[in-house]
Amino acid sequence: MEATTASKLFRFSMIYNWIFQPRGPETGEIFLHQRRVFIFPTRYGFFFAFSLLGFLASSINYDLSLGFVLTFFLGAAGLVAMLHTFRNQLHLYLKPLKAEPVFAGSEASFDLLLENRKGYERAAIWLKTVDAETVTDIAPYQSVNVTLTAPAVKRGWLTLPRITVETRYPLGLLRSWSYWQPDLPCLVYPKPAPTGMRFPDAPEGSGEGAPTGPGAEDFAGLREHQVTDSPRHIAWKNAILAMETGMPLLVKHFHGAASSEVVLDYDTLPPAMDMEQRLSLLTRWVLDADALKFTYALKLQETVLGPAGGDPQRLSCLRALALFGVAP
Amino acid sequence: MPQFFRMTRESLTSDRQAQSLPAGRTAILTLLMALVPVLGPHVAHLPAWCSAFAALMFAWRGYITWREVKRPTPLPKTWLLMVLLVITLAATLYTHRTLFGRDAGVTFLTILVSLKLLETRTKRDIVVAISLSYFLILTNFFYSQSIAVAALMLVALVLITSALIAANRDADAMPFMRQTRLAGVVILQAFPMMLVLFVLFPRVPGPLWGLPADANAGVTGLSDNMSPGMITSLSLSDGIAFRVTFNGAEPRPADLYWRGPVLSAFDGRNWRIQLPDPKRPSRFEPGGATFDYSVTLEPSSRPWIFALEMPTKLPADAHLTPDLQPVVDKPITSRRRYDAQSAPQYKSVATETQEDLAPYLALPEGSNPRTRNLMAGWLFQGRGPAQIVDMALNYFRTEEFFYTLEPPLLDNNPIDQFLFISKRGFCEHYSSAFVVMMRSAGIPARVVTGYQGGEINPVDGVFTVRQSDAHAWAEVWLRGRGWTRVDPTAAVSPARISFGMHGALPQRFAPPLITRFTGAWSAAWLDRVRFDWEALSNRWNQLVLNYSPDRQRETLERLGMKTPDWRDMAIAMVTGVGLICLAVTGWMLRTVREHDPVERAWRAFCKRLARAGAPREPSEGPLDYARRAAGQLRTGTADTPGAIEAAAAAYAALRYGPKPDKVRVRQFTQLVRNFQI
Repeated sequence: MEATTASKLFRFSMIYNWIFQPRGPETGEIFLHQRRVFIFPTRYGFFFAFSLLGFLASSINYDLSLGFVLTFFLGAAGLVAMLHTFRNQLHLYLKPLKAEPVFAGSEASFDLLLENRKGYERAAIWLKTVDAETVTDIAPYQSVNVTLTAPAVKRGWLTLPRITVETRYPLGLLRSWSYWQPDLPCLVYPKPAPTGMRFPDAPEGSGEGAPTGPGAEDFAGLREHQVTDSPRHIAWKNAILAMETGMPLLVKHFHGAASSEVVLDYDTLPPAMDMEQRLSLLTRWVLDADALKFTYALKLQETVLGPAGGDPQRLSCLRALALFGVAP
Repeated sequence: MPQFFRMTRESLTSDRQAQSLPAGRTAILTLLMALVPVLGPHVAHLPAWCSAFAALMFAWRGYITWREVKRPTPLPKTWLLMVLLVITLAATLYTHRTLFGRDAGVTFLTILVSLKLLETRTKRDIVVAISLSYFLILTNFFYSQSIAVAALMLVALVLITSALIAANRDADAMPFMRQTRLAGVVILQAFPMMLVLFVLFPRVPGPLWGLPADANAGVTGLSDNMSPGMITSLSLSDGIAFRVTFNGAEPRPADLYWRGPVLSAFDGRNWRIQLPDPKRPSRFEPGGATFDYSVTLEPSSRPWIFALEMPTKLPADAHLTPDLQPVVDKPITSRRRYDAQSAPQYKSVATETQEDLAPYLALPEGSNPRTRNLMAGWLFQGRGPAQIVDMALNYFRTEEFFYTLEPPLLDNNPIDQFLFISKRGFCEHYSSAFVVMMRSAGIPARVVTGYQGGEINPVDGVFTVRQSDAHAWAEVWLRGRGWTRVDPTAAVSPARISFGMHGALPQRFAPPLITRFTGAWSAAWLDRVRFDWEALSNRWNQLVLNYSPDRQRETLERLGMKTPDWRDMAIAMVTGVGLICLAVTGWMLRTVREHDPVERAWRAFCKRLARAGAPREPSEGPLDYARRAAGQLRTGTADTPGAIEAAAAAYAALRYGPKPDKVRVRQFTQLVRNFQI
């Protein structure tokens, strides 16, 4: 008798849970069994049913036997279409493939595999998230790769929002759909700071006689180009980018002091910078150092990576930067 | 709760997005093709300008769609379409004098579909055009529900459904033939459900609202008046008036007088129904054999039916007027079947007083003086009524009278002109002249219209009575005998009564090919084809078109339902549709249930490896898994690791490689079955 709004809500959420059985992120291949495929008429489906009432009324009024035949044919075709739509989606195999790491501020791409292990074609299968949608046909016994994108706003792990797999084929009278949240996290690196920040000075006495560059001095970072700079010192690798983006041309900046390695240290950055700014700057330096094929070390408080160079060093540094302070 | 609502709302907004996709080329071309059979039969009754307009619009849209492949071709501007709409609406109003009703409605719908096609940009637009086209199928049945139209509309139904499928191919188009085959499959699967719904859906006697005035326009048949030339025009129509099945013996051809409107009021030119007042009915006593029969009457929009002279039993809502014309309470607006009984050897009973008979002697003042003079002469000779009847018939026989479908036009005093000058006429001329002659001689007489004869179909024994069998004869009242039938046409052309109208007419009046083959034209096989076709049409009419509430009750009772009411029908209908739905589901999902043999063998293989201690991780591919399992398992022979990897490699090849053939699938299942661990 005293059913409060809260208890009503609870009951309905029980119903909701019972119908849709929310699952959360799922690993591995998913099989759309009958319990996962829902079906409901579309707007056009309702309109179609309503117009059939008009057909029926005309048939009765004008005593058109063949009008009845037509009306019942269309009504029965609607029921048959329900089975076709349901079957179009039923027993589809869904598999997360990969999501390549991206920098914050760009689009993350999630590669997914849809596999049809049946002898009939599945047409017009939609995959939708809040951010993106795509549609594909899958031939009998074939699989199709689809890519869904999502904006990578923040560094850390980006999970793809829940996907709605849906179809209205063949007649568009009904929509069948399934929910799928693949456990396919995408690593988002911090957004690299703009170019032009000076490399930090290498701590003294850390040098161990690393090979010296052509300038007989040690590389210490990049700064903006000035007219008096020797063309030899221009950072040509960055120059193309600089010309395209209109950013200042950079020159390699050399220190007289002998320092063989660069240490990129979170703690030595100016105290005015907050954590995200520091990580952003460090990301930029890691990319620059890698572009110049340097050996460098990254110090993130107690974590020290390197000194080393090359892809493995870059990737582990970027990963550490992406996940710094992120709960595992 | 909010989540539940969100689900439904999401479902519907998601539709809206899908609806704004561009309309597919295939869908537009398929719909254009579908509209040919839909509108084809309409050309016969659409105004010519409308057919031409629709053809032009379809050609335009077809051209745009064809040209679009090479370069972007814009659709016409909206203002242009609006101008076209206004012009065509004005033309509709001008042609039909209304925008409502059957004919104007069809014209309007045709214009709407034509213009909609030219502004079809999105999926929503094409779906609207498709829905209108489905309705256009229905409008065809206002005009004809013949087998041929039904077959054509079935083709149209499949094609429009094919267009709807094409419209829903959101990703890639499908070849036309495959898409149309799928539409055919959908319609075929819908067929059994349609049948159950057709038989069991509780029928309500129509109409629900008033029929527009033109609902039965163009229906030909006998009317409540007769003027010279009226039956002549009917005689050229091969339209069917009604069909008759005799339950038992059939009467002689000469007794086949199907009684219809009895006309007793004459204005000098036209005959009309006029009921005598006070209403003393003409009486008769049935004599001789009676015949039972069922009549299937085509709609005539008239409140009367036809029965053999003289009916002794009629359906419940029918009765005989005082003039012995069988009438019903409401106009016959749809094909109707009824049972009746007649006694052709009836005896009239003379109970009328002089006063009752006065209306049957009335003639307009001063009309047809020569006829009056002739009759006055006969009376002067002192002849009795029976003799005068014989003299009149003899007059027709001996003077140069001709039975013809091309009588000359008659103006003032048409009876005089006919009797003394032209002497050429059709049954209405003879009966009309005869009745005027009788009345001039003081013998009560009236004109009876109806049909005479009919053609029996040897295939199913059904008599078909056509409009061309329309006939008019006379009845005279004789003392002691009452109302007696006299057929003056028989005096001129006895063949008309014995062999039907076509035995009586010169060859060139034989109506169009197929419907009639007489004399030298007649070819046995053609007759055979014609009779078979008519028998089929009759079955079609009986089973499909005439499925009225009464017939539904009869049919269901024959199927074993005792006094079915709408509740029983609804229950049976839902059960039937449910069962068929289940059967179709089973048939469609059979491919889903029978797992593909490769998949089944692989799963069994994985299960066996799992039992041996190496279960498969959900994210593991077959090759990785086999490599791990081969390294991990310590049981089995030395060949086991190799066998595992071979099985996995074969599985991967079958699964991800090109479409596997049967031999390789069997090899794989055998390999897995023989695997021991």
